[in-house]
Amino acid sequence: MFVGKDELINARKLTGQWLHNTRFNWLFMSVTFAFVFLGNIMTLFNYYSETSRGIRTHQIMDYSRPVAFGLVGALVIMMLLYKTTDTKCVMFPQTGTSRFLAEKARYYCLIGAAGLNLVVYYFVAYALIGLWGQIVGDTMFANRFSIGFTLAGLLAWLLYMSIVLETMLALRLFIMKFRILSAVGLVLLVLLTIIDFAAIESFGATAIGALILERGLGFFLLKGIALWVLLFALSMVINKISLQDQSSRSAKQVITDNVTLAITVVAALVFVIVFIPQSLDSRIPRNLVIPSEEAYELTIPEFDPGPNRFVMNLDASGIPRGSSITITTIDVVKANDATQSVPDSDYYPLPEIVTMLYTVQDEQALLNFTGNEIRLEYWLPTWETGGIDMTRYIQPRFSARLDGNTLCLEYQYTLTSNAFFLPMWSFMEQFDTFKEKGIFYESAMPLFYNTRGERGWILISVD
Amino acid sequence: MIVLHIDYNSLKPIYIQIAEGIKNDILSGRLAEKGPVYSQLVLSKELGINPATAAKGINVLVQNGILEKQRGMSMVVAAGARSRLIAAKQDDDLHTLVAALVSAARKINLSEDRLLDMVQNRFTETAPKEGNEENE
Amino acid sequence: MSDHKKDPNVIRAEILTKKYPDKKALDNLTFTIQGSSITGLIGRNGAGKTTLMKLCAGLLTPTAGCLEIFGEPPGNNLKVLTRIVYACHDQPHDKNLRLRNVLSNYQIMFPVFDREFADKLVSFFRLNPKAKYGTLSQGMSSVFNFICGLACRAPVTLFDEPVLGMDAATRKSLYEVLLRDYNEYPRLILISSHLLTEIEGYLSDILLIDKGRLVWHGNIDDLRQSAYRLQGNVDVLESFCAGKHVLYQKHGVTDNIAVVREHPDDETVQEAAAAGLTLSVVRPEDLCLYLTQDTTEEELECLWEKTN
Repeated sequence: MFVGKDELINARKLTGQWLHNTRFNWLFMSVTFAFVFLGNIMTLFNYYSETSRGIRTHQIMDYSRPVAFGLVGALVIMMLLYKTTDTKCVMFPQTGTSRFLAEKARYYCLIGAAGLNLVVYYFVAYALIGLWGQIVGDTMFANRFSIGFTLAGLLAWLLYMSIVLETMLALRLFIMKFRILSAVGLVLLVLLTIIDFAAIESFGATAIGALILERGLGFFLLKGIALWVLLFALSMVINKISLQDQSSRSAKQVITDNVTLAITVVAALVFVIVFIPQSLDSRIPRNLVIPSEEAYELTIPEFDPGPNRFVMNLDASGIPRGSSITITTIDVVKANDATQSVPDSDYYPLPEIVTMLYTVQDEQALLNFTGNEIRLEYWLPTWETGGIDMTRYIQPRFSARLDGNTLCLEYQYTLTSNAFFLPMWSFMEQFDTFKEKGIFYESAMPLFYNTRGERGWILISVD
Repeated sequence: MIVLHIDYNSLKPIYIQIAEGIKNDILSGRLAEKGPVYSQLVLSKELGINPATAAKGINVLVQNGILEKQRGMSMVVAAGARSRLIAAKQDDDLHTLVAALVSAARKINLSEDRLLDMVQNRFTETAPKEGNEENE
Repeated sequence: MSDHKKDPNVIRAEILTKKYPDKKALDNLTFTIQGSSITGLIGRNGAGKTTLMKLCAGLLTPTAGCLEIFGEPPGNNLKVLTRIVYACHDQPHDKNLRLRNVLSNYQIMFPVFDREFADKLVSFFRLNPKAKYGTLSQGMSSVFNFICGLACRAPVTLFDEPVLGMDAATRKSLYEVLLRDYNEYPRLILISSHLLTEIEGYLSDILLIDKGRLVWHGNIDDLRQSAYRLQGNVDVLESFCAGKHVLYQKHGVTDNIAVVREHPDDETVQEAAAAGLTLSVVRPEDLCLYLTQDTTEEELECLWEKTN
């Protein structure tokens, strides 16, 4: 319809020529990328914040965002220089359409290369740090590595970049005529509406943002692809019209020749974009709980049965009636003991220790023991850094035994020395698909880092 | 190999010059009867001319029966071409002489009858004796 | 009309016009070139030769009229464009490309490009295939671009001033190569040049344009036979030329010349001889000059006159 098979082959040949002619540029770019990324992996060891017991949390920023910005800038520059590249091929057979397709292909090569570099960097970072961790020991990754996530994120990122590109191409006449001024303005506009996901609520009303923001990754991809196809076709049509003086067919002919097919296709795409059931709430919920300012009052929590709640019943039938049971502890603290300096606030930036507290329901029952069993309802401490549950890495273990008249409560844990945060595709947070799978964390800079710990509790009662 | 020479300053068209050049070569014996003649390609290459021009020249000779096309592509000198050329040349030469004679006669106001008488006398005087061949 | 479609190698222009904001490059040009030939596109600087060639190559579109190659307009037409090659002396290849890469590019884009032949030509003309295109001198890049155009063996080959900057020896080799390859692989060649005398023998046709208009198109032999030059006494000259189409006259101290646009048949030759005038042939280059000249003797003389 728009493009003949010969034209596709011609465009492929032209692109192949360009790739071959610029092969050293690609090599140079890849090597530069490698250096920049490797250099930044080294900064992992510079930025860290101390948490309790010497855990160092290392973090670098998510590169998918700055690369996206840089890529848009590079695309704009390439777009401004399209004439120079075209002139070098003017002596070969081509049509206006095949020339435009070859031009598009050039931009997509750049987008693809950027995406590929990001993924490769991500793999390399994980590999290197994993290796380092093996050698040094006591190291862990704060966010879980997932192939599915990486590839899904790559797809979504590429799709976003493609939509941006096609929007720019559809507006390229504007860019060409007013050059730098409009290019800069356009880039900012496009970036703000599409890429700045963190501030999406504010800009959610913009057309493209509203169209494709979705909770579900699948829906997003579907809508995104539909939008992309629409914009792709739009840019082809605009190209045919604007370069009409180069072709022998008038603009009117171009449009009316394919009007039926075009209307059908456009209608289908509009349908997909607008009418496919939207998620009810397209806003990204904030799951950062605002910490209370003061929480000095230590309240003994209730035992809510749940996945991390345990009940241990110690057989106390051998205890002589009337004797008293003393409690010894290792790393467990009595809750009501005012002499203990236990930080009250759950949001204290650097909890000294992730502790376990115990409380006895009835003190008298232990001093004058007449029961059969000692019931321990307990849950282990949790430790969270930036929204990532780190508890599993502390490996908290609680054990209790009755040694004659002594109830021994023991809490053990190991602390890791180094935790690494390697974020990627942070815009993917908006999708439910990957939430709470241990992949994301909330805050960005180490300086404003929140480490949050919750004590474990042991509720002792007598049966 | 070819002694033909193109004179771009001559009033004669190039293809005529080629035709005449070939004719001269046939007359001088360089090109034998029933033998091959210079091809369009060879003429073009050696003389530095467009093959169409060479072809034109060859065609003129084909039309005059001097050259003929054999089976396949090769062009050969027609049988009897040389003698025909000689005859034609003689004809030409003769015509030139007659023209000169007539114009010379008119110049001195010699009448037609007197001229014819002079020619007859000359024929009688120079009639071939026994064993004496004279050619013009 | 349909006959043209059956004929091979046809360039057909009908009232072809190309206008730019500041000038009219081509004005109602109408001609047809058919079959294999080497046609010289002759004209002064700015006559519209390059514009015509670029139109044929699909690099420009006509403002009015039509231009068809193999029966179709060449613009955006891959079927036609793969059978046309436009080779100008300063093709804008990437300056950093090596010559052999440029040849590879041609090989990819043109279906019948003869790479082996091109490589041989490159070494024949003493070019270094590893040299970068930007390092070539004017003459060398003309040679190289000629090689690219010739090796394409395109049914319609357009050479735009192919010998610009070349020394005489290279030019001679180039013409020989052109003629030989044309003999082996006939095609429609349109070659624009200012050195008509050099290539006179190689051409079969001439297309003469001036100020965008067609002046003459036809066989070069016919052009040669369409005029003659007379030299001799000024009064005899003037009476002889009375009533004839005189293209050019010059009355000087040493000699007087007149160029007459008329076929010099035997009768005219004899008349001139009888009148005591020298009749000579007008070389096509000179004839084209006379047909397109627009400055007069007076204009020339004015250059040195002092205005008081």
